[in-house]
Amino acid sequence: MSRALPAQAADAVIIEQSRREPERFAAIFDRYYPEIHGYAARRLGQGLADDVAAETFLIAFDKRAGYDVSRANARPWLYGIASNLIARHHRAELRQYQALAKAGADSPVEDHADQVAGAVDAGARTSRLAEALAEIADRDRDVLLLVAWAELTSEEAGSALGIPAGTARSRLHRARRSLQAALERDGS
Amino acid sequence: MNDLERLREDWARPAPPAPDAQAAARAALMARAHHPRRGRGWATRALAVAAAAVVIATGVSVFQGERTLPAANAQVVLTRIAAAVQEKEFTPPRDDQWIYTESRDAAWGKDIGQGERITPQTPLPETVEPFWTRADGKRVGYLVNGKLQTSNPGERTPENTYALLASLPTDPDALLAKYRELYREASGPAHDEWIFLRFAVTLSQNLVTPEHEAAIFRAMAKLPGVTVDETATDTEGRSALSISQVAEDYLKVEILLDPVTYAYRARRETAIADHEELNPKPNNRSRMPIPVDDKGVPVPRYLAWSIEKGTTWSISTRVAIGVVDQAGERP
Repeated sequence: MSRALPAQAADAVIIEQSRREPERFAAIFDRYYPEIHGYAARRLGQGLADDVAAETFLIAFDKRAGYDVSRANARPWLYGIASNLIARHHRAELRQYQALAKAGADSPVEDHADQVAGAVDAGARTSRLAEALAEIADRDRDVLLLVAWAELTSEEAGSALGIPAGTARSRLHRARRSLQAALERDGS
Repeated sequence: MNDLERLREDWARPAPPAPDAQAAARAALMARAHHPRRGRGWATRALAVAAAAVVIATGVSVFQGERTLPAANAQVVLTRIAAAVQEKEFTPPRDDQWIYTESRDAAWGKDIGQGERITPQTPLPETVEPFWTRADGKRVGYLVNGKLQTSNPGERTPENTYALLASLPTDPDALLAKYRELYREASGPAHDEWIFLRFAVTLSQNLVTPEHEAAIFRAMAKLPGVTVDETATDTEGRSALSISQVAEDYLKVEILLDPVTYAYRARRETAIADHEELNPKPNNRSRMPIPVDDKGVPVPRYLAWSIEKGTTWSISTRVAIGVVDQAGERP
């Protein structure tokens, strides 16, 4: 067995294999759990992120038979599932942005404490961003944050959310305009 | 800094997930992986496609409606194989030993864009998958980024656990009945194509006692639509014995054996007719909303991919199987 092991199997290959050998799906979990958790944590805070991230992989596992294996990379698919779950916590998400907006520089909310403490400017900037995010329409914000935080392209974000690429682009454009307007309004 | 960079840089970076939360999430997933909702997808699609009359291009047998039992020739050959494999030498593993398998898998999937047509010229990316399973099924081992990782796989079935397979009856009718019961589908009884595939998977990923291997070949002789080709060629160009069945009216699933010893070699799946895969699927089975556009109108079905008749879509060649004392060891 002198063959060298390949660096990494494509997600699609693992998912295809997991249809017959379900435990292979663990490799998808190991690869993406931390970043899906991180994305959910930014939008909802640490506590809800635990639930959303766990549920994302259970749903993904159940849906693996329908995974379009022509998509080598599973990130957009996983972020799409996570986005749908996050949407269920719409009110919690808004509360978190409003709390961050109000907290401003002086009293960062619990989940952001370690990063924000001691950095007054960062607190003020987070506050402005949170205020802007709270004002952006939910479906526009979904695209914006998939691009900004999950670092998907607008096309991937569209595929994640099950909307055409053109629609994703126009939602992104709209969200960015609101964001820019809010940031300029504050003179920053 | 533009607005997107501001969002990335100024928004506090999340703390890494808590190890216990991650472990709990992984355990939940592994538990689910061992209670899969059987038959979703693959077999459901088989049903839907079977309902539509699909005419298979010339050059292969054309059938519609009821399948017939394997041809007399297939029954004769399968019985001969069963008699031969029953005599092979075999040492049962201890419960605490590990079954090591290594398969070289080539399956399309990488770099295939939406709507693309898969032809015999489409490259098949290859991976090598080493896998360890404790004989009692209590743990499995695999490589994650080159490092051995073991986990408790929870509930197991005979196709992946030596101890469970070894406890099944060796009478072919009783074994077939057991497989139909174990691998039944949510929508009802298991289809013959599904059971054939379960047998193929059992042969490829589990260590099989001679008695059970013989029973599997005898049971295959009882599955409608199974055919045997003693003059087949495997992917390396060697002569091989092929046992096959056609799923979804276009996908031929083959088990390739050494033509002399009848030792298991590979599973190969080939399109025997042109096929178009449409998305979203005709009946939305997923828990996700049907994709809609800006106005809430469902996105029209689109061609996800199509495959040209004669294209091999996946090959899984077993390059090693053996018993070792520790996960991570190779025989």
